Amino acid sequence: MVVKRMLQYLLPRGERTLAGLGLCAATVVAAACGALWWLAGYGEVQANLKARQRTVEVLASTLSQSIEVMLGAGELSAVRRLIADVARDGELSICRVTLGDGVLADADPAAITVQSLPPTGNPWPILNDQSNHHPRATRIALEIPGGGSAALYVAGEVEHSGSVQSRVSDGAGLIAACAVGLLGIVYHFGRRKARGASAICGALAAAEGDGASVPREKDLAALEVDDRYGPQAKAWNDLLRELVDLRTRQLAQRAIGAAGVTARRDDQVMTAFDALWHGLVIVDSSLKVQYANGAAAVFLSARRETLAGMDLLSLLSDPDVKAAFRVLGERSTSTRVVVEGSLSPGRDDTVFRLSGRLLRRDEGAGAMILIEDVTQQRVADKSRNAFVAQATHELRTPLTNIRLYVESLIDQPDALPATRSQSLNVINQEVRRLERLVGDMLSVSEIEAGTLKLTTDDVRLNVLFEELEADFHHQAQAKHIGLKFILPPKLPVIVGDRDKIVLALGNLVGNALKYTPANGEVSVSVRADADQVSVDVADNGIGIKDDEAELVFDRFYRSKDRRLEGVTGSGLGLALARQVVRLHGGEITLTSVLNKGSTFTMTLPMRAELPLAA
Amino acid sequence: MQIKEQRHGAVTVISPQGPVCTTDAEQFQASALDVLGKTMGRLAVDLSATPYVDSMGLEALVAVTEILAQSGRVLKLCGACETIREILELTGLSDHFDHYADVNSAVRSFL
Repeated sequence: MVVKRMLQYLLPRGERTLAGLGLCAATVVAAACGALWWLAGYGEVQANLKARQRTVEVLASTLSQSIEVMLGAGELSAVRRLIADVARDGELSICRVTLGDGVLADADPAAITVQSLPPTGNPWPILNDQSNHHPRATRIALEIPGGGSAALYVAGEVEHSGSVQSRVSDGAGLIAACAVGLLGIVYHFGRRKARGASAICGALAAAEGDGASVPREKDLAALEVDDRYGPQAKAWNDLLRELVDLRTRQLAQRAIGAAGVTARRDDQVMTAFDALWHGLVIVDSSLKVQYANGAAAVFLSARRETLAGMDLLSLLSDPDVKAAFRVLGERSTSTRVVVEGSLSPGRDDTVFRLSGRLLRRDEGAGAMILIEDVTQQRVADKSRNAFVAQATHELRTPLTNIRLYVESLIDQPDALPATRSQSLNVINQEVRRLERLVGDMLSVSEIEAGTLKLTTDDVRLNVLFEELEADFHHQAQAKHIGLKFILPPKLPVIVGDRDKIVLALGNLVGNALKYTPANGEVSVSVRADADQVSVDVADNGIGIKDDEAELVFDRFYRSKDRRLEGVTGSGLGLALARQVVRLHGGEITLTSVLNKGSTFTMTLPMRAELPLAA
Repeated sequence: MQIKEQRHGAVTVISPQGPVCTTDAEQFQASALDVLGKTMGRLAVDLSATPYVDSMGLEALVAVTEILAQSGRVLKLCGACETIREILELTGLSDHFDHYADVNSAVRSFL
């Protein structure tokens, strides 16, 4: 740990691993050399010991035979000289002959304790090996012919020359030196090659940390190594930079993604606003336009791109509308305003309803303005009001006549039968007129509600036209108009709604009589073929202007012709007639010449073909 | 080609009298765009007198409805015959328009 700390302190990152490897290798080499040196010395000693032991044993064996002979001959002095010579020449550390407890001969004369051999015939003392035993010496028992027992002790010291060990030491030292040198060379070149990888290892270790003392290095830039460490280092640094870029991009994308969710939501809201057919304008507290959808741009007759930042009041031309929104901008009295008017000069025919309200009540809050095109509603309201006024008038007129004639009959109970009959006839006409008017109004309400339906059945046209002629006969007579029905000899039976067809034909004939001056002529001509029936209702009345030829079929439309100022009508008859005929799959067309007369042509299929519902 | 123009209250109905093809399509488109400008988009097209439309006619109809789409609306067609309805269905353009059986229904839809 201490070494590691020292390495960390002394060596830069990238060198530590390599230096550690070098030190380890050097230690291994040194240990190997030391072991080799020790093993060499140990082997030499063991070999010397064995060789010396063998020499001593051979020498002792030879010497024992000579001593036995010499002692048997009583030549003690010769034995002692032999011992001294052999000990000297053989470099023996112990070479002695013992007899009993004493030393009979020894390489060291001072150690001799027995000066002479026992006299011939006397028993030899018993050997006492305890007193003369030498643990390292080779002991050979001597049997002296004609005597007793003695013992020879021989020991040779081994001198450790150390020559082998010295040579081994020299060799090991040389090997170690070479190994270290080689290691140094390898380290030098390997360091150049491997320090990149080593530096990368160090950086990886730093990035990992040890979980306790060394924290993880989170700054990727701090993990970069010196580019001079080689291509690996450059590749590592490139990887780190790419990782840094990737993380940066990820963060950026995450941020963009978070912003994108909001942006997508805003886009959806804006798309929804653009899909509105009402105009929507959002203004700030100073009534500057912040947002306007497509419909608002159309209604304000402005390019959408230029609306942002414009003053709302400058976009409004109607003084009433301007005043209302000025009040909203001042926030003095109201937080909501609803006003109707026009938006552009020269566009007075278009009515807009502008509903503005503050987005919040506090100061500085903007406002939202919803712009609705209510022109058609206002036109319909106006027409409906006109119809109600006209219908009231239409209802009141026959009712007044009925009341007057009824009162007359009540007041004159003795009136002449002719007078009574005339009064009842007028009452009857007025009641039928009321009936038609109420029928028209009901049909109008059905058309408005989209519930005008046909109840089809067989319609016998001959009967139908007979009734029609009877219905209008008196009216034509009263106005001195010639009413002619030109019918083929045989009329077919068609499939349709009888009441509705009678309503349509009644309106056509009734209009012809109404708008034809006295002494005029009205003709009803019927043609039938295999597929359809055509009815021409022609008059020689005042005619219809070309520009009104289609308008007369509009609901509530009343001709602007001054000659008709005294003629009352609901403006529903032709609209109802066309609607009914179209429901049957037929059509009503008009050809007219002003002041010459008009011809309405109604075609009906043999079987009512209901058109598709709207 | 004659193009009839009728006012139904605040709504203008234009009715091409014949097939909307080639140069007639340009005339129809110009007429429809003119009405759009005048009426703030309160326009319906009555096709009851139009037996068929060709690709130019379809382009003209789509051009008009795209103008209307900028203000959140679509072109209202009424009285289209079976042939025209089939053409619109086959070309996938049917959804680009509102369809009504007759002029009154189309005009009433502006209420």
